Amino acid sequence: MLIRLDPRSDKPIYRQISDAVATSIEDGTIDPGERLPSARSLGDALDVNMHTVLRAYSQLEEWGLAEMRRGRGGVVVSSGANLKGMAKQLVGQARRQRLELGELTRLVEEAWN
Amino acid sequence: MRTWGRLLAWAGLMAVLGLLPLLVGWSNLSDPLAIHWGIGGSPDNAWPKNAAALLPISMVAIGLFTTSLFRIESKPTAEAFAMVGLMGGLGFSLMVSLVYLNWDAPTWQEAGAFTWWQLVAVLATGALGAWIGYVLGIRRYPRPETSESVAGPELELGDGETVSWIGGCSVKWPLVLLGGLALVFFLMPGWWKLLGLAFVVLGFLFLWVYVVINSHGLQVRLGGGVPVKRIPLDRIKTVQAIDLEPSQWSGWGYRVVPGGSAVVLRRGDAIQVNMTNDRRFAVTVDDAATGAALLSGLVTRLRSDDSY
Repeated sequence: MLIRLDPRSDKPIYRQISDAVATSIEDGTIDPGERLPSARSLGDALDVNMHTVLRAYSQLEEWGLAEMRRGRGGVVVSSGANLKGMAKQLVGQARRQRLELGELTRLVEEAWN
Repeated sequence: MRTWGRLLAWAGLMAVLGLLPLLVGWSNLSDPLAIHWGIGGSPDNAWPKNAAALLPISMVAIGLFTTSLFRIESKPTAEAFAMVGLMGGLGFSLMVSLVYLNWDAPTWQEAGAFTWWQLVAVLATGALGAWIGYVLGIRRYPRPETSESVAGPELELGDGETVSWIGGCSVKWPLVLLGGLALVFFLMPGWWKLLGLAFVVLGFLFLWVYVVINSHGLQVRLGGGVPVKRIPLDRIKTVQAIDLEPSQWSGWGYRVVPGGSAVVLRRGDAIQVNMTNDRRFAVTVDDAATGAALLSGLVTRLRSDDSY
């Protein structure tokens, strides 16, 4: 799991951490059921305070990606929104229904707005 | 066949060496002769004389088969030479003991007793044979140098950005292997139980490995967070992601081999660090490419900072 922290960014550090972990969960680097590193060891690794990591983890919990379990630390509970996989499914479904790409993108645009 | 010629010649030499004691003592040995000794040291089994000749030959053959012929490899390895040397050395010294103990005994039951010092001598000769085999083998077939200055791809790092990579891998085999051994020892009396406990701890250590790469360098921890290795950035020459083959590091666990060391939990994805003192270190991790790319990037950034 790669975590980039930019102290000059407007984004607070805890949010940079939770975003990076979420990305790792969503791209499959960390699978559901896997444990997250303990807040202390991740804090050591990133040179940040343990409480910053805990804050990032509670953000992940809020997003429904991880769960904090007493005595076991953080556990990944969802693979998140795997947009790539969902897009593939969507395209597959559209092909079966003989939709043109243009019609599909129009549908997406409609939903977007 | 030509590729394997040297290894076969070495095996042939060891087999002949194992037969020599028998040939020398042939007329002074009873038929059958004592071939096995009980716990008390007195002979408890006998073989016909010519069957005893099969002993050193089959030992060398076992050495040859277990290391080389069953494995699909294009070239013999130094380990194969060492294994043949080990079995040959054991075979030779066993035959010396055999001939010595049976010498001039009228029947096999009257052969001499097998003693502790003979056992020690047999093991020592085996070790010597293994060493000679290894030295012979490594000269002809040096370890494949996948490494040297072949650096892998690098991760681009922004100024002032701190990038860290947390990785590792976990395996289940220590549970089965060491748990089984621990159980055996727990069934044993007294102090042997402590050995069982040691195996439980060892098994626990090698269940997983946790690797951190950041601006301090590379840090490796085993199960329970026990730190085993720390390499600062300024001691690193190049980094690469490799497909680790445990036999090249002489097995699994924490391996120390000539020119380096490695933490090997499984076969496959690993990060290899080539250090400025020309030693190398490898650790098995999932997604090794990302970790290796970051470590390369960090080393390059450190060097370019230094050059100002």
